[in-house]
Amino acid sequence: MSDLQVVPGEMQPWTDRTDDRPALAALLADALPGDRRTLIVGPHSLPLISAVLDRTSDATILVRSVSDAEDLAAEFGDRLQVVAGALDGMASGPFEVVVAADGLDRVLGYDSGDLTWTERLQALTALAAPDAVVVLGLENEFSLVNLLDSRPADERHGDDEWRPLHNDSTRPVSVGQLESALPWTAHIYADFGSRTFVAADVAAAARPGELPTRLATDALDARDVPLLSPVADGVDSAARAGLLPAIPTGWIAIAGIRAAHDLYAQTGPAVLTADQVPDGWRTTIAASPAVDTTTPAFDAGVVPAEVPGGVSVESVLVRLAAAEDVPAFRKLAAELGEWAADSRIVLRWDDVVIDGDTFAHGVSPWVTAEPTGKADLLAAAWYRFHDRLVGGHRRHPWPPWMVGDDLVSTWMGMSGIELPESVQATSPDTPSASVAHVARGKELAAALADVLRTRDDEAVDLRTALADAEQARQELLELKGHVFGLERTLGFRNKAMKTRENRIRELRTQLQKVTADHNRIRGSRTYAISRVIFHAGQIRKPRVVARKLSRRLRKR
Amino acid sequence: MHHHNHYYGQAHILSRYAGLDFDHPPRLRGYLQHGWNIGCGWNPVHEFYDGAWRFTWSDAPRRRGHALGRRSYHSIGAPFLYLLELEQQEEPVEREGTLWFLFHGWEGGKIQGDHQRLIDEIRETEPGPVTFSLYYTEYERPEVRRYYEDAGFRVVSFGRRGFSYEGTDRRFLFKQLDELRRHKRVAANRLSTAIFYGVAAGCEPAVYGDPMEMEGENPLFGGQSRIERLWPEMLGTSIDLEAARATTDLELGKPWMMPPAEMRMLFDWRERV
Repeated sequence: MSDLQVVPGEMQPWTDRTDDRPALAALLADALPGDRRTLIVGPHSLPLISAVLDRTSDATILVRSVSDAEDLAAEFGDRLQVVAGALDGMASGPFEVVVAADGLDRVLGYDSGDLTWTERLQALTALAAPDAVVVLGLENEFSLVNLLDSRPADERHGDDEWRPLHNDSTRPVSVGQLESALPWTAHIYADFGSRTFVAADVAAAARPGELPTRLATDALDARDVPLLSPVADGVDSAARAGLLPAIPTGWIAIAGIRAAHDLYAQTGPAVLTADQVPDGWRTTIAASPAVDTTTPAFDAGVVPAEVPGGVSVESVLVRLAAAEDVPAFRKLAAELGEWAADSRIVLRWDDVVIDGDTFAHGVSPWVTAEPTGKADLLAAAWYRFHDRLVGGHRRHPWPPWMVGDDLVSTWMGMSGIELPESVQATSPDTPSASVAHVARGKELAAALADVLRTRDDEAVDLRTALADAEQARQELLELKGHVFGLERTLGFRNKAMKTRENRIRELRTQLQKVTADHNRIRGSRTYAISRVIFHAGQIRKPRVVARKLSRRLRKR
Repeated sequence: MHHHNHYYGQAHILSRYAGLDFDHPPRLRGYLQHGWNIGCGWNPVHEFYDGAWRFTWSDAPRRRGHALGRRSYHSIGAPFLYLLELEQQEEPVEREGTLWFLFHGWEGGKIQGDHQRLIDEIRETEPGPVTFSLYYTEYERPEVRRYYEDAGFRVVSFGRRGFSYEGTDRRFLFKQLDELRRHKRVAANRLSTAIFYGVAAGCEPAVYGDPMEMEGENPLFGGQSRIERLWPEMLGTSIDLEAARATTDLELGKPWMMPPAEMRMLFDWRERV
């Protein structure tokens, strides 16, 4: 264990929580120069510190918590000089590399002076050599997640905010302000939830449905913050406005050097990097780990080296559904059905990209162990889309009784997968034939949702909760309407039956009258004579009959 | 289901198309548009129960209904188009003359106009024999029917649309389609459902003559002048057939047609037959 140095402003007992942030580790590994005297300022996770130590043998870390400092000293031994205390208590320097990726919000103790963000930056600058490489993080108070945070201001403070950190007018809240505040020329990355980092100029050019926007949405969606409304809509709006770099959860400024790639994103157990090329994105992803037997499994090998720069199929389908343009939706679904094929890659429309007249897989690395049939893959893709469309309360033209397996089945039909034959319901809870039809796809979609789930708390945002309640009310209204309609139909049918009953009564009365007339006629003398004449007319041999009749009369 | 859904046997046609019983179609969970109009697909004072779904022929009535505060629409294509699919001609009949439709009244309103003047105009315009189609509301008015019989036209009527599930001629549209397929031209004194049906059935359309007045006509949607502004390509004695076909496809909702299995799900007919 290295000697632990303590400078003024240390905190004990105290610990600062850190997260792994593998995408940031990859970014640091790319950006940091080798073998320079390096200072890490503030709490950083072990993998991040390791990423720095991989680049230099002369590293010092400053953390305010004594217990954290002790743990770090125990973990890294002589490889890392550990200092416990506050930034304004640190006097040694200058350093050729300064890494403050956690920002400047956790670098002071409760005994430190009330330094503004700018004063803390000045303290940091004092530790850096004039031509130092500096990596500095900054939390964005104008972030979309912050704007949509459903908690009131008095409930947003943690234990470390013995002084409000954010009532500080010197804190930059935009890329421009950050660039102006820094004493160095810096290259800025937008930090989306510490999971996706996109170069600010690349983020500014990204539009809804494009790769940076899709990855930014996924990353922000993973944040464990109670929200007023879903982040996806806000991200899309910002992207349309060219303001994607304005709304991340934070920024990483890199001065003195440039990182190697435009985009770093945590994907499963690996980190995806991407660079913009004229037609799209050139990607790299860490090799697949040992054989993964879960379904879906992670396989970096299926991520294409080049991904088209187009928008996702999902973004177009959502737009067509909102416009109630079923013919165009049907046409796109049919084209997707023609394009899809048996594959190991789990199909998802939010990661299939429109590429001119055809489609291409995006960067999703999730696969099944064996190739899956086209029909099941389409069912999985449509099921995931269904959950995102209907669950997100997006506008669409399909009635509520179709929502669920029937709607997925319908979309599969549009994609060329023959729909199941109807089955006769034998009881009110007889399952629809669609249930079996989409079962495998539903399983796949659920399994994919599980591996993509990053939040422990699956509580929905306030707007969705209100919309759920409103939908329940609407469903009740429609069911009442349905009952009214059924009663009305019964009323009409009843009326029709009464009409028929009256007609039958009329016919019966007419029949009785005709029968009475008939009986009266049969009992009359005229009828009897007419019958005799009729029978007489039937006799073929009148002479023979007359002779027989005369013989009988004589015998009497 | 609302009893209007049975008008002209439309629900019966859709039921047959969906593979179900023609004579006794299952209940349709909502309202089915039963005629082309320039509004939301129904008459301006049509009542809808809360939460009802509305099945329009095409997207335009949906958009207009949306503007009236109504939701829950799904466009499906006119049942007549499904009938065309069901009743495909094996051997086309040689077409001759014009099937002429007089703008018709309904059970609640009779038409008023100068029939003799209309007859004169038809004689001047139509190159071949004329078959005159009257809705039963006019067909059963001898004073109206006689005008056209005396003019030497063959006068036909396709039956009643019915009311409260009573008196519906289920083969109304079958008879209309059969007549349309025998005629070269279809004409009317107002742009109306029959013109679109005629174009869909392969006739050359014409819309001319006194449009006549109907008692109690509600001009809420803009009336004849709006038709002239919106569909000028469908008016006149000689109409560009290609343009007419394109408009007809849109107004009858051809792109919105769907396969039988999808229709069974849409109408909640899947397992409740």
